[in-house]
Amino acid sequence: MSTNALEIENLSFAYDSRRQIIGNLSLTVPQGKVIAIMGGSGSGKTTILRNICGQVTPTNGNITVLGRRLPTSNWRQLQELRREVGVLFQFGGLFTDLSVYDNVAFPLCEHWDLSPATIHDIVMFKLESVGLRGLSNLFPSELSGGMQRRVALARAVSMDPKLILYDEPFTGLDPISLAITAKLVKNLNVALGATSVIVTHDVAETFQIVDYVYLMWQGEIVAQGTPAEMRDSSSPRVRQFVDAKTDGPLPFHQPAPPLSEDIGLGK
Amino acid sequence: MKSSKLPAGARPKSGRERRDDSLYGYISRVGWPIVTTCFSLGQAVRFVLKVIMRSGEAIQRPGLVIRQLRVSGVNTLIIILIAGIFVGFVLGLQFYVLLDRYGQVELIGAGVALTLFRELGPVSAGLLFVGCACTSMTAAIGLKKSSEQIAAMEMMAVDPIARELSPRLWAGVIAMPLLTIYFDVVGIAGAYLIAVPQIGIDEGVFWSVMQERVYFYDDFVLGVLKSVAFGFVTVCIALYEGYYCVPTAEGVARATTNTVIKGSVAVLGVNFVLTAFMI
Repeated sequence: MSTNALEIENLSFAYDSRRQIIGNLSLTVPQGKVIAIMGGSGSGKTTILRNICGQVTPTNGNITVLGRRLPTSNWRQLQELRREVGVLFQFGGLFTDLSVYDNVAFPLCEHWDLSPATIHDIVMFKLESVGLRGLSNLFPSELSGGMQRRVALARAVSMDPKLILYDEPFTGLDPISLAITAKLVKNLNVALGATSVIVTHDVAETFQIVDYVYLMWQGEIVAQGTPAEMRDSSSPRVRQFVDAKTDGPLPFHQPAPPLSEDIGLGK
Repeated sequence: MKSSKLPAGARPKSGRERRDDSLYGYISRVGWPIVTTCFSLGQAVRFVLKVIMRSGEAIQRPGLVIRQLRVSGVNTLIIILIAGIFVGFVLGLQFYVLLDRYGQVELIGAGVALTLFRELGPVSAGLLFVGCACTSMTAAIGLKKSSEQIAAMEMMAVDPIARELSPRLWAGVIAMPLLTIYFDVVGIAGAYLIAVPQIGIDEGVFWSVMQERVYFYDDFVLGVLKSVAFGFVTVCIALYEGYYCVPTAEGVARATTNTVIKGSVAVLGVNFVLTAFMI
């Protein structure tokens, strides 16, 4: 069996024929590692996660998740695979009609035939790991954005997944929550013996916890390496992203006709 | 079109906005609505079949259906009772005016019961159900979609159609006839309050004529069966609109409006078809 938890070969994806989101992208994630897919807004990072989850079907290429080929999987196989994958959504995706406790217990109740006492213990352990055991009776609407993210994290790992996908886990967190969440991601990976893929553009915290970084721009990987290699890289693209420079080869503006044409001043 | 010829401040039209006056453009403009309508119909039929096929979980876990029954049924009950009593009052008064012209005032009870059981009960309850429960279903599913809750469910290998939609469908199918019966009962009670204490018709005559002229199967049961059909059709529309809405605030708002429009038209249309077959 392959030692890679995730393999992506020549992946291309487009929502329609006019606009390609991902173009001929390949990457591998060895088991037990934490890797980051970084890049600016609209570079196609979240779309990669949606492809890995089987939410969308690639236009081209193959994805192998935990030894199983994704685009050819049927629905039942996909469901079995998803039980082994935890996903932390960008905005949490918590069920607003369920309490914090019920949110974390949800996948356990749906998939495992456990006694209420056992489910209670697991939920309490998971909530303890994110520091929110004391708020188990509250509803998501009663929590701050950062707390919701932590509950969503507890729910994502409630079934001890082998692969955990994080979509922008650090967005909108205060510095303390950000540092704690980053540490939590690393610790959970070790404690569960899992593999983690983090999609983010937060350089400082990510470089402290990940083993390898892929830098994306407009649907393609433009650089890769360990955090140390990325920090020391002389590539203008890497330097611009890591040092947050406004000028450089990675453009801020999306492709568009000249401004003068759009405001009716020129040809 | 050159932008220099445009009036100052005018925005050049994008490719999509430019009108194609060629034959191809004309055919496209005529054909596009037909193609999208056919696509939507096909998608809706497939969706309904999927919801029915994945009802196993709703049957195995009746708690899911009971929960939705409370949400859609109990929350609609108050408006059904209030509307029912007022409709009963009005029917009592109108039948009195009409029947008084022919000297047949004692037929008020039978007239009101026939009207309610055969038409007004199922249709009024159906329209109120669309406005109250179906809009709530569309908004709930649409918001779950826009806030990634449906996607989260899929990622946890939980089928949102089986877990969220099928229980709502069967809850609606069960709730609708019950609500119709409540509407009928309260409506007759309203007519009784007008006919007996106010107009002064003999109580025994009111009930005995109703018992004599109204048939349990032909009038009451067929009306209740109509309401089962209304429940099925309107909930299917509500779920479809919610599940396939654009996941934004505007998208959910538009889907909710569509549910009211399509649901109301469906109640009236299905009522006509069923009435034509039942008579």
